[in-house]
Amino acid sequence: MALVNKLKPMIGKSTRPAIFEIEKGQVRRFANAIGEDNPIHTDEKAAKAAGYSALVAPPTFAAALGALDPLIAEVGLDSQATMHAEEEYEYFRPIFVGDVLSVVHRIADVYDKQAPNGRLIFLVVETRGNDKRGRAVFKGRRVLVELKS
Amino acid sequence: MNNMLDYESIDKGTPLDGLSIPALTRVTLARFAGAIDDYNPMHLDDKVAAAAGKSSVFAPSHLVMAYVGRMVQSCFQGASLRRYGLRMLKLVWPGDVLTCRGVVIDKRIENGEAVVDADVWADNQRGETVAKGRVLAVVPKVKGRLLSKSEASHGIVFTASKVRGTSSGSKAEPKAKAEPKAKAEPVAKKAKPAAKVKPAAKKAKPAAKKTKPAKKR
Repeated sequence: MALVNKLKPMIGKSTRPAIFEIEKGQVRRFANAIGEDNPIHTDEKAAKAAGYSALVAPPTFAAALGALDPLIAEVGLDSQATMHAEEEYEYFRPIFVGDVLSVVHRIADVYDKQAPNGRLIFLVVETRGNDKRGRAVFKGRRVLVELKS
Repeated sequence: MNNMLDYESIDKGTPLDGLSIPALTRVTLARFAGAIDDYNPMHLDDKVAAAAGKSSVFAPSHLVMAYVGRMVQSCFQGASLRRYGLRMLKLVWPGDVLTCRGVVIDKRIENGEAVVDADVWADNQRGETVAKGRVLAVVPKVKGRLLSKSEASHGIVFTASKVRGTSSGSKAEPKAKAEPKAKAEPVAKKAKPAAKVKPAAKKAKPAAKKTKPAKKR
């Protein structure tokens, strides 16, 4: 109880925008790491032939933008004991190589639940990824749970 | 290509083509950590995982999300992906073999767009569901058609058919067509023009079915 009450004032707190320049190698590495062999992610000719202006990132690439650890640490939770319970993305357009994205995480909610072996702290983080013009590229919503405490 | 969904041909209960993922290894986890530049030791260092009470390192949720996302991407070729989310139910360990699956649970016309909801999930080799979630996509209203400009301007659109053909060096398409040809040459020859002439016709179906097994490995 006490801990979650201490965390409540954190609701609404945002990180500073982190800027990500999306690079070819990064997109290719991500596609390879997840076993995605659709060449629109790795081969520029294929991407162009498919009507894209540049290499396209797989839809879940947004996860590669901005680890939450610093935010989790700032809140005072243990990032190593914190896991994602839920994750959801809303997509406005694909992420392309050459994009310069600004990513901001915001603490949308903090709550706790009684579990058999202690209280679990839940942290709801909303993420916005915007392009240079400030237009939305994706929005994310993750529910993190700290297992100990 | 492998399966372009459209509003007419699907309904509640239509299964999505599943995707099998090879057994997870620690190298898979390390590569993924490098790819997303996130080196949380719980996914990389057995000692750290053990100190936290886990039997070994385990997969980050992002990786499970990415695997199910691959299935979503291949099933929703030609569609616009608007939303995708997963809830994690069980940890995924090295050695686990995941199978991603999905099923259409609703379709409706919303603001003039053909909207499809699908449940998606991943099972491990013990038959346990490790993650489950939901996809919302806008699909072409008619078989063989593309999304309109406005439909395609929102979401992630995977322009399907041309992609593999052009990329893997136009090998993919002839290969797929070659197989039915070998089995029954005249049928294959007839099927091709039929599919071209009547994009929305039922005759396109058998042709599409024949291509499917050839493309799946």
